[in-house]
Amino acid sequence: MAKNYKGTMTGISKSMGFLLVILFTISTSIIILPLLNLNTDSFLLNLASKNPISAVVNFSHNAFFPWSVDSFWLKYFQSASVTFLIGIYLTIFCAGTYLLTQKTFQTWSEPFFLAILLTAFIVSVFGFDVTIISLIAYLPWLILAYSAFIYSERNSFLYALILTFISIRNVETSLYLSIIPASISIFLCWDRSLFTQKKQILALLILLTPAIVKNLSINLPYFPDYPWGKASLVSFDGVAGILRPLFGPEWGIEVIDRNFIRNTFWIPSLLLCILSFYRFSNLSEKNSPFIKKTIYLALILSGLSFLDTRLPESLAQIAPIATLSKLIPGFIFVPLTPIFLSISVFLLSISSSSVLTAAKVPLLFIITVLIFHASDKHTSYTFPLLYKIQKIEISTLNDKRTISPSYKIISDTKGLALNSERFRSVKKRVSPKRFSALLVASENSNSLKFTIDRDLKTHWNTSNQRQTGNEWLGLKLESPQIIDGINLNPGTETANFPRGLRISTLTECKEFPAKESFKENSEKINIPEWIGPVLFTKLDYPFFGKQSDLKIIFAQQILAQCILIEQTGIDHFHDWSIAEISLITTMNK
Amino acid sequence: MVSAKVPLIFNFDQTSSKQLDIEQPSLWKHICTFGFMLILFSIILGKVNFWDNNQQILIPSLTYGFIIGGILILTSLLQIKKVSSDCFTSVWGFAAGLILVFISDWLVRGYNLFQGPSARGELILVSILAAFTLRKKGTQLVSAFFVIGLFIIIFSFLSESKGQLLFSDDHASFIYRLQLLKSNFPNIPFYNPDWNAGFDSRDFFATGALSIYLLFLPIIYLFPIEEIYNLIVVSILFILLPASVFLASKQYKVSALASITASLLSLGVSLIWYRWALKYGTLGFILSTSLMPLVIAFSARFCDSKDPLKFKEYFIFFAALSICFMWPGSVFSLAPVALFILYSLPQISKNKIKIVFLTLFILVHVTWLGPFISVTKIGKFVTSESSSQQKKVSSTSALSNDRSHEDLKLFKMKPQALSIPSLLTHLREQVITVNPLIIFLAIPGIALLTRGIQKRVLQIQCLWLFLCGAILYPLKPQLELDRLLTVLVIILCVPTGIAFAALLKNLREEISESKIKSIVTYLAAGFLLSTPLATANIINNRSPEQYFFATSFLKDLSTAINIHAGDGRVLFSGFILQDISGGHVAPLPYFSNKQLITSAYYHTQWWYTDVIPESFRKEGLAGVQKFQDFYNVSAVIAHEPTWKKFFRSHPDQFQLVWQSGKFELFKRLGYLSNYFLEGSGEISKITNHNISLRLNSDSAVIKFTYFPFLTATDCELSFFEAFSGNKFIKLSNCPIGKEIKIESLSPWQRTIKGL
Repeated sequence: MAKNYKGTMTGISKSMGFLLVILFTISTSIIILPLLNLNTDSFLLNLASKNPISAVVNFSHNAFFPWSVDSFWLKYFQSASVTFLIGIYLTIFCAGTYLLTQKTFQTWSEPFFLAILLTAFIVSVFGFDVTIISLIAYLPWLILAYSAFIYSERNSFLYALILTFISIRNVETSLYLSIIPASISIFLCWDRSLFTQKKQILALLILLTPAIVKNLSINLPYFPDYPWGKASLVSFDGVAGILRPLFGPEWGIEVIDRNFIRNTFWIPSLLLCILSFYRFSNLSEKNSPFIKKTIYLALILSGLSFLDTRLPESLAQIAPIATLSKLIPGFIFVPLTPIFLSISVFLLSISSSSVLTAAKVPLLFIITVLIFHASDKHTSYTFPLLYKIQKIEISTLNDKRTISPSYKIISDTKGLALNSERFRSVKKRVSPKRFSALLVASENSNSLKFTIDRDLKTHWNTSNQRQTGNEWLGLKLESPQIIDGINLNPGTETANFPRGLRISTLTECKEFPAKESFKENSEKINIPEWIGPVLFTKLDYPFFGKQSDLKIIFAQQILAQCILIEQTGIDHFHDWSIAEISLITTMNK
Repeated sequence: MVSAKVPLIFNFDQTSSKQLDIEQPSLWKHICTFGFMLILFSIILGKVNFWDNNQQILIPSLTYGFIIGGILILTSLLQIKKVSSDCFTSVWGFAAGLILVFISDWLVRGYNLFQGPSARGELILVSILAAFTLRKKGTQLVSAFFVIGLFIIIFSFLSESKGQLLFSDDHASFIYRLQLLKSNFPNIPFYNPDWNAGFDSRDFFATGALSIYLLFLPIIYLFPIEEIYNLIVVSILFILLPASVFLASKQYKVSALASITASLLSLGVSLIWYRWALKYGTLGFILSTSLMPLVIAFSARFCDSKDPLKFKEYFIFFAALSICFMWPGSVFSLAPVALFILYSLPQISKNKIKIVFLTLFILVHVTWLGPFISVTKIGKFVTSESSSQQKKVSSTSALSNDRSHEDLKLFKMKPQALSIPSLLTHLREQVITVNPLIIFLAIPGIALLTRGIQKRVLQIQCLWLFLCGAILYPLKPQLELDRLLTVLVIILCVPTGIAFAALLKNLREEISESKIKSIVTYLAAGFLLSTPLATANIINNRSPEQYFFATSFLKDLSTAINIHAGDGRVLFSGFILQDISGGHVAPLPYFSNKQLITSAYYHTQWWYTDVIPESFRKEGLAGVQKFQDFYNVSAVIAHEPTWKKFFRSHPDQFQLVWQSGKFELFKRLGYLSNYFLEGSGEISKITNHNISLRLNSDSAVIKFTYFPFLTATDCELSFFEAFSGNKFIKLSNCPIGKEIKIESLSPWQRTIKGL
């Protein structure tokens, strides 16, 4: 690769650019990131404790995975925050990108801005994702060192040492994912004409051996004892069962929110696919093999990401990304799509002939996302950086269960009891009949009597065997009562549970009011997607139970006379059935 | 009709064989074979759905399969001028079945080797890889996958075991058998007082433990069994088997690609293979079966005067045949080969080396065959399908025959009449677990063999195994003939390798590239190269067949027994079978260094049988204590709630001294250990093959089970019936104060006396 670049910059300007890049990135990371108060430490909570087996949870897609900070940096910055370490990784990446691209350009400023732009873009799109930042940190350096070693005619030993050093740093930083940057470097710099050369083989060994060893020696942190086969942690991805690796460690339960990955990354992957294809179609004989390979790889990676996010989940599970997750130990713990996309962005940027060309990638991306976001309400895409600022609350971080696979339940579940003591203490179910309750419903009112007849075979249900999101059922009690929760037992119709659920209450009411009378502040719970009741392991880690179990315990006791239960989800094949309603309370009448 | 001349796939030795030309089958022959394959496919699957169980039907029923297949066959036969057997054995026609496997619900059916539906991901990925490399570097690619696959599988086993001992089901028994052989060989069979007051330790022959022992003799003597047992299992499954298949395929003079393909396939022939190997721990069967491809290949050459064996090949053949032969089931499995050798005797007798070989083989094996036939009463075993026969066979381990017939279910199932629906169900259950590559390529692979004798031997052998394993198995359930289907798929690795090599060779030689042929070949490569991945999945315990390693509980229990047993024996109350890390209790005397009593220390009974006979249990506490006194029981281990409650409810008789999990160990209070029922003396030493004692009187009855083959120094032995069905050793005319040793007669004495 190196021999294909012909630069005209002087040594001084090169060095000046390099120093500027380092200074700029490190100052930005150290000064600005803490000012943003992004809670980045939460990503790597416990890591700075030098615990060899630590766990990290991703606040966006809930991936829970073993991780540790490179001890090399901890030696020099023992008291540094993880934000600082992330700053260091970004600086390494930025400086490496500058060095990798500077030979393409005439002036130092172009690679300088390209490196800065690329770093900022990756952070803003993919957030402070420890896997992505660690993985890309040494990628440009690996490419540089690999090509320098195999093409060097003198000082081979020195270059071998440099390559070994960077290879080890790469492995220590990106751990069991290090095989990705190593493989990418090999793909980009592989020279068939050098196949028989010992150097090429030696370089392969230097890059792959430590990465493979790391993949085969993953130590797992504590994983809560969720009841296997009966618990879920994230929303249902539409395919029964879980994707299990053929070998290597696993959790045995779906931890990553696949729906989030699919909704969030399909637009970026489509966009990168189009961009890569555009660049691919414009390739000519003049382009160096390195540039060609860079664009091929960007196209492959973004194409695979698109397949992973846009194919129906049942087919996505046999697509290459899911298959790689099954085949390479450790890959099952983290979603590969954002990783592949970030690399794709990197590859497209470094193959650009000018900063303006490179800038098209982020610009086009931002414009498209904004258009989609404005035009389609169902697009749940938000910049991860903003997503995290909105999402993470300090109170949540204080919960020891936050850095666990239960994170998504803790952060997303509003209004439900997340306190196992409270959950376990509330046991008494009382029929609304005991409070002389009046029952009303959006439809089929004649069969409401079946919800209090103590017969699980008889039901009240919505019509047309579907759920439109507008069904509701109301209870007016004789007098205000203190209630802890509500149970909407679907009886024998286990598939006919509500797909979404909202419960609102009024403390006092004379008649059951119109649905619109329940204002926002009367809303007690709002679960757009019903995954199951929140249950707890012995050590209090919450998980979702069976969807057909509709035992809902409120976060606090509620004084209510009128209760509105709304079905807010959509299902084209199942109606909403209730065989028996009961109020859950610790109070005696 | 289009025809072309293509070279053979085989690398013929030019000095011994002439180059033959094979006419490439026409399109109609492929279609005819496809029709035939479609019928087989329908037989295997019955109703075939598209992709998964979503009820999108591909073939509604077996009848439709027959109709569609029949139409294809008839149409193509009308188009083919000269009908021959190769109309039904085109490698392309059969290989096209792999597309059906991929798109149908085959891969999502339970107990599949490739655990679907996500298995399609690996198949696609590997097929794509194959598409880029197979044509130019087919052999290198398959070899690389073999090496990487082997590494992944062995690494998976090591990481799954975490240094623990493989203990599932009969593995525990095998550990014990190997330990007994280590301390007693060559004096087998022998009397073993470790279990149930003494039993006839003779099952080294029937289980094939002897073959394992002899093959791994050096390491067994150098290291403790528990340290090298996992290594033995891994060596057989992942080194010996692929090596055997590789060497076997070399006997057919096939290409390197065919040989390495066969070896790679042998790493993942079927899920049931690993059920027998890892879950059930039938090591004798596994070892013998692993060597069968080699034995069959050598046997065919042995009968072939045109292709003489070299000296080192005679040596390998002798070793393989001998080890294979030490699992008695091999005699039945290889009956056609044996008959073929007998049939070829006139021709064999012309060769002196072959005569020496056969003579030597007979001489070597007579040494153990005599005692084996004498002590195992094999004739009775074969005919033992009635309850009365079962009762007789069980006498070696049962403490009493005071049991109802229902207590003595010695076999998994009773004989059944042949019925097509049940045979079809059985066949489908077995076939769905097999690597689809073997199902669809083995038949054309056999057809591609050109050496007459080798082809005939393999054909007859395969037909025999299929007949026994798929059709005759319900007639003699005690013989477990269904295993022979597993033997069959191991043997079929070689022809499958040949057919795969033929696929690739034909593809390479295609002048105009056919897309369908390319897809079929790459998909076949996908199945082949994904095989070690599917195996790694099984090894990692992620298949429906779960196997177990010994947990720390085994050590804890052994230590507890050793500490709390007292001077007498320890009894496992109720019925214990595979309750200790999924394995049998057999090796506990070895780990605890104590004598024990249980209902079944090996898998000799299939239904609940309480160790204490009903006549004693009826009497309540007094009866239980009487039984324990008879057997000098000083401590009891209970794991069943009823027995735990019983012992806990008598704290003045039984003191709880240890518990872990569901197991509780009770010490008998106020009981003085005594091995003498009548008379008095001192038991000076009990080993796993003899008892040493001194008497204070010239006669005594000791609480050890009597067998007619026992002998004692300076003493006369007879039996004493303490209660119905029990036989204790009675000593008469013994010297007082002098050490007396009770042990089994030598193997040859037992053979001569028919004991």
